[in-house]
Amino acid sequence: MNSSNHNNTIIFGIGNSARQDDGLGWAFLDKIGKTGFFGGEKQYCYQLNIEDAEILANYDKVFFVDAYEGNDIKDFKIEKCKSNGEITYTTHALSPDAVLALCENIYKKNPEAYIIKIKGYKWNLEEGISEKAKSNLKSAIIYFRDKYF
Amino acid sequence: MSKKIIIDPVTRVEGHGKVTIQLDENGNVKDSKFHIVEFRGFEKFIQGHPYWQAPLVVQRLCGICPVSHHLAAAKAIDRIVGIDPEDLSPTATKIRKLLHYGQVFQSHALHFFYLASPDLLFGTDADPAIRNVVGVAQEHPELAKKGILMRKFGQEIIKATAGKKIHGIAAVPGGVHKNLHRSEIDYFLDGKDIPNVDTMIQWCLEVIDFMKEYHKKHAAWLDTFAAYPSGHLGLVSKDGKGTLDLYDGLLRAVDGEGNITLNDIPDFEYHKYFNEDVERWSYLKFPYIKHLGREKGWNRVGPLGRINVCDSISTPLAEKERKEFMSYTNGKPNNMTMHTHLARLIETLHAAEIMKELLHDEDITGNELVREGIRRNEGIGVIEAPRGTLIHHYKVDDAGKITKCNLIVSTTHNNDPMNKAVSWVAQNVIDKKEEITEGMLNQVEVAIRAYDPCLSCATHAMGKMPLKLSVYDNKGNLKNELVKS
Repeated sequence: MNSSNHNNTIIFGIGNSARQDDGLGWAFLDKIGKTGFFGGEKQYCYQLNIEDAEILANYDKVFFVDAYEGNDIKDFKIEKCKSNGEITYTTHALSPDAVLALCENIYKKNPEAYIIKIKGYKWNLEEGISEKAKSNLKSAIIYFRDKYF
Repeated sequence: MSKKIIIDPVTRVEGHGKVTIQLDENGNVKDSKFHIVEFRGFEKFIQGHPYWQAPLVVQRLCGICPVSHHLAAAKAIDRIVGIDPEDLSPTATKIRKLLHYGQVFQSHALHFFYLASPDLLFGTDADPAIRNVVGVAQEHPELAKKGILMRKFGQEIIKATAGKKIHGIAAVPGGVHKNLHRSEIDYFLDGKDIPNVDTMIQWCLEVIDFMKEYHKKHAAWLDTFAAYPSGHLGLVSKDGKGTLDLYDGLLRAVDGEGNITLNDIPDFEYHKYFNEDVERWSYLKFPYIKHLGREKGWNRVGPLGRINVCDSISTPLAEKERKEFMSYTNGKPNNMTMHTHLARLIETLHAAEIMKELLHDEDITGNELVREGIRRNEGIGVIEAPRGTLIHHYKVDDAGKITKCNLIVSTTHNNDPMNKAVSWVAQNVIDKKEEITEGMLNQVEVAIRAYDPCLSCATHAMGKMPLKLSVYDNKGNLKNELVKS
């Protein structure tokens, strides 16, 4: 992908930089903002909300970047979202799949969507990402750049 | 066999709560409680900070209604810098009001479309996989779309006045830090980029009509479910007309029959009239009017409480709806919990009308942003947040450092009312039932959800919200457990 079609791409950085590695989503946006290889839209958010479905409807491609605390991935993982997957809604925060489903149901748009899960380790009320999580972030950005740009 | 039923936490409310229902050997409800189990800390750790930080820091206790905390704290800090509400410049007052009513508008829209409508549209015992906002979008996409755009309108108002949608900054001690420019105002009026404020008013009227039609079909349920007499509390205008005022006013309370129990007292005298009690089983306090005592002095706050205590609404369309609403109870307070939804929609309409008035008011483009007064060592700010009366109280030392902070958050006032609602459902829905179904348990949540509680605010903490239901026998052994994730 060259810079001319970045305009149809948006990246959601999900998290909270005041809770250590929960800030990985925002740090991802900070880093790619400095490197300059991505020319599309960037959106910082604490959580996904229903109104994000409207934003998605304006793009061809979307990436959701979020910290991940499970032990089933080593450093990071990129998965394609499934707007037709099982829909659950338990709080005011939505999953990427659910936001995509809303986008499809309400706006009849179905952008190509991926979630980038970056493994984190520390979640206390402190600023700053742990060293191991920084390493995972770096790996994720390199892979993201090489594969998609 | 005696059972204990726990719903932990309650879903589709903001925050984290747990419901416990204790049954005896015969399946009769023995006791019920709505516990708030998050820990609070803001009142303590704000101590030592300079006073001007309060509106910036304390709003962080919530991601849903930070504007309300920002403004309540700002009003308190205004008094510390010697500026009473009447002393603010017209521009500062109106920018703050625009921000506040934008917040009320988006918060009420969030609640109705995302949290309440699934129960109304699909029924309280519908499949939970459908009974949610995604289900609403699938079955009623146009309704869902309006919900999204109404919430967006309110959030854009917040962004225009406070810089960003969550945790923005509009107020500074004694005023605001910016006015609105013509282009910012036109964004909300010309309808080019987003549906304009007139469309918001029209959609509010449509949703109110929907709710009134729904009431015609389900009056028996809406009129009786979790209904009980109670006190009601809210702010009314200072001009002697008793008009609904969400930004600034006098504290008024009535009992379930409409008798005045708190007669338009200045908000900064709240501590003369209110006490707060505590219980071992909840971090949430229990405020009550002193002279009525703990048993009789508690009040509902929020849309239903406010509509019940005011004498009128200043905007014509909302006033017409208020009159119709009050005529249903012959002018007496409406004690029907589920009517809170319609009261909330009337306020949503009022907020839209106020936003329109303010957007056409040249004062919001004015340049007198901040005024200065003579420093004081104490400040109290009271505002009607979307969920009810919100009180911020600060004391500072001569160096300007905060030495005391007391917050009585809207949901705190509703602590007793929500417990009463849970008790009603326990007694009327769960009592003597052999099998406890998901639909029955959801009715507990429906009763709580009508109050739109913000438990994060009430306890000033963050938390995840899986749902866990545990059934215990009379010896405390776990007999059954359901988990919603």
